[in-house]
Amino acid sequence: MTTTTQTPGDRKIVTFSLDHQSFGIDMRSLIEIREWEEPTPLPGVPSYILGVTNLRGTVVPVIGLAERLGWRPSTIHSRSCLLVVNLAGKQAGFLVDEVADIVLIHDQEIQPAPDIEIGEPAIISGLVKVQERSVSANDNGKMVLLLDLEALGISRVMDNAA
Amino acid sequence: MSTAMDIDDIQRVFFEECAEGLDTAEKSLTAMLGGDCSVETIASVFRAIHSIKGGAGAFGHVALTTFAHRFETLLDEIRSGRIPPLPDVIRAMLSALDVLSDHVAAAQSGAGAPADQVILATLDTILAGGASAAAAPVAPASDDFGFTPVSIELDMLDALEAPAGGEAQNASAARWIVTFAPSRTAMANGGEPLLVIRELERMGGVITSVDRTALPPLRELDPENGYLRWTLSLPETVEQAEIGECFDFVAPDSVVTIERLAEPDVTLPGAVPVAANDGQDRAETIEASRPSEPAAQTIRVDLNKLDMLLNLVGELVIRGSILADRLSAQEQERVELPELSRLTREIQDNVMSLRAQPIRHAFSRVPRLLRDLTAETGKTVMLETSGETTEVDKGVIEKIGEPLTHMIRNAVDHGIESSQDRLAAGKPAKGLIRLSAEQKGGRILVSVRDDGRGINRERVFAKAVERGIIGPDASLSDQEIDSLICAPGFSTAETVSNISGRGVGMDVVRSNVEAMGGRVEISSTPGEGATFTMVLPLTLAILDGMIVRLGRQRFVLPLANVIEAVKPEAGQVRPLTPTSEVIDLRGTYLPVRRLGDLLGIAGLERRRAEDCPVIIVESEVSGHVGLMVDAIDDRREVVIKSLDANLHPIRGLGGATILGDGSIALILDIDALVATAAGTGVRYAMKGLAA
Repeated sequence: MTTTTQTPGDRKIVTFSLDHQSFGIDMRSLIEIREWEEPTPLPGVPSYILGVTNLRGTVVPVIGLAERLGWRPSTIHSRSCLLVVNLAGKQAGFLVDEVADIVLIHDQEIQPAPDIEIGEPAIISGLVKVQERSVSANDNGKMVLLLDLEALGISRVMDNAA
Repeated sequence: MSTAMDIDDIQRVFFEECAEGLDTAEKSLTAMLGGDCSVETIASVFRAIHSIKGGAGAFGHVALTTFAHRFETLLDEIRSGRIPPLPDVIRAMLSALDVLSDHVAAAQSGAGAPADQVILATLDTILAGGASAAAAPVAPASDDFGFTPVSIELDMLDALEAPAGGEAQNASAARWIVTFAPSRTAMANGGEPLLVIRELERMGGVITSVDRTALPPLRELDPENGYLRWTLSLPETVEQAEIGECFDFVAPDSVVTIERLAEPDVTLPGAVPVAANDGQDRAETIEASRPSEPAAQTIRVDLNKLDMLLNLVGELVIRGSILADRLSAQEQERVELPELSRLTREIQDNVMSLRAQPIRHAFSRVPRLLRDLTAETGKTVMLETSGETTEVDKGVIEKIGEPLTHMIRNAVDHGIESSQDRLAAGKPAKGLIRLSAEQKGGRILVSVRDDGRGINRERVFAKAVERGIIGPDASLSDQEIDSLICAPGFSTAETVSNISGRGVGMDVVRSNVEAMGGRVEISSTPGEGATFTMVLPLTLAILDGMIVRLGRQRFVLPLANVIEAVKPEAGQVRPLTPTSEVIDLRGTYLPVRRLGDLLGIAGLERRRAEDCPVIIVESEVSGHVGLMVDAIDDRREVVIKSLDANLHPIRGLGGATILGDGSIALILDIDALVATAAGTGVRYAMKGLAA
């Protein structure tokens, strides 16, 4: 489904916003982007696990990504959507405030995340500056935090919850 | 994604086919060793090896291709009749098949090719010299094979192609015994017996005897009359109907019998008897020759693919009911929705049956287990099984093994008495265990019945008191006492034997069975025996459930846990403490829990008890408990979707299911739910439900 006609060293990321910050994840782990739909809540789970939803017959957990990362929990609005991703064979939907763009970046553009004051540095795999298409050319570009959702490990999340 | 991956996929299919081909070839070669050297059997070996060679060539597995090619050459010679399928030749081919299998494994793992020189030399020897060379298959090739073996070869060739030799030679291939006594006047009526016999011979039949006792003295002989009674034998591969057809036009008062010879004669045509390898070969022969009947064709399928199919069909069913919800009855008829739903249901049933297997697979290890147990205890026990063909889901078969083992152990160890005790009690010295399976409604009943001493209720009661399971003044019915056996850590074995009494036993059975959504039923008659029955769901993918509502959300209660549902009258539910309630159920006070509290759902309206149905459920830890919900929706079978496929298991939940409108209902795990509440109180926090 994702066309991988990119040369090694290039990667496509999908950028999105959470609490006015820009984030990005690798396109290769993305299954689909869905409209927000109220999930079925689960008992006995941390509050950032918003529940489960029906993805074509599979029961998939829905995670409030902002809350999980320590930002202000997302409020649902018309552009809220779910990024459904495949993480090491498991599927999960992440609630994001707004999907912005799909951009091609080069590996050498990625800066390592400074490990100061970041609770779980492994989740932020790097920082990259992205020029937005819509904005004027003299814009300096914005910082995108690359997330390694696999490091987030949905199942580990659940372990911590217990 | 890439082409490399596609090739991997195709290779995987190739290796799956190889496994099948090797399997087929082995079965056919074994059948040949058992005397079935029919053209089809030989051809099936040839085809199997040929397709392995073809595939191997396409993927560039040189060593495998080369070896398969040499093997194929020999098979071709046998197929064309130039080399007779002597037992030694067949054995050499079986060895070659082993090496071929090693070659396949090597090609698959990328390891180096196995050593195949010795077997290749043997194959070459057979190819070069024929039969007598094969008599010493281990001997490396030597080139001086003269003409002597050829004569044997030709004999064998005759035997193969025209099995019309002596009687003894044909007994092996012949399994149908046909007797034919044409009526006296058959010929006068236009029935020519010779035509019938020729037809039978064309099918491979051979006259094994002719009964001439009815033949009159020459003087009285009327050449127009029939006096003879022929007995013919036909190969098993011929269909009975085909034989019957030969007699379609014989005179109605002719005598015709078609019998199947039960015990095949393994003597090979005029050759070294295979019996050199004794009973084991023989058993295999019988087994292997069976598939040449019109056997069901099978295909190997990756279980994941099957599950995916089951999922998709489940989704189709759900979409169907969404459509039904949205369309009016009239519209439904117009788009032929009922027909579509019927088809979908049928597909679902069929897909589900793909996972079904006869329970025989689970029963098959019981005789062995019993042998070990009787050896250990010195008791003598007979086993009777029934219902082995009952089909259940593969998952059930896998999970039934352990509880079944425990039940058998329990029966031998606690149930069946020693021979002396049995004789003293006026019973036969040998104990009897009956293992049976049957389908009843949507459930499978598997029971183990023994004719032993039954459950000693006094001792069970005393033991339960001693272990603190019940109070000394508890008043229990016989049935309740019997079920104490399943209490955790309970064991009545007087001495801790090797077999049981290690603190595990029936409690394991009970928890395993309950984990499958089933239950254990016990019945016992002192002195006459006990029966332990596992009542199991047909499939682990489907659950019989009660759908209940709480706020906007729906939940599924496994029906196996549900005792009854009560609509309480005013005053029937009373507070016990500010946070707990009891229900007066026919004079017994049972604790009542609000499902919302158990799940920790905040912000629900606290409704009056008489407005809420109470479902009495049975839990292992807390006994009977009433669950208070907002409403009961429905009772139906739901397809279980595991939560831990994409998440971790969550305490209190057994999974989830997708309802007709596409929404998710959580399946409750009653035991875990009630136990949590009993132990640590309510401490779940649940977010967003009331929003």
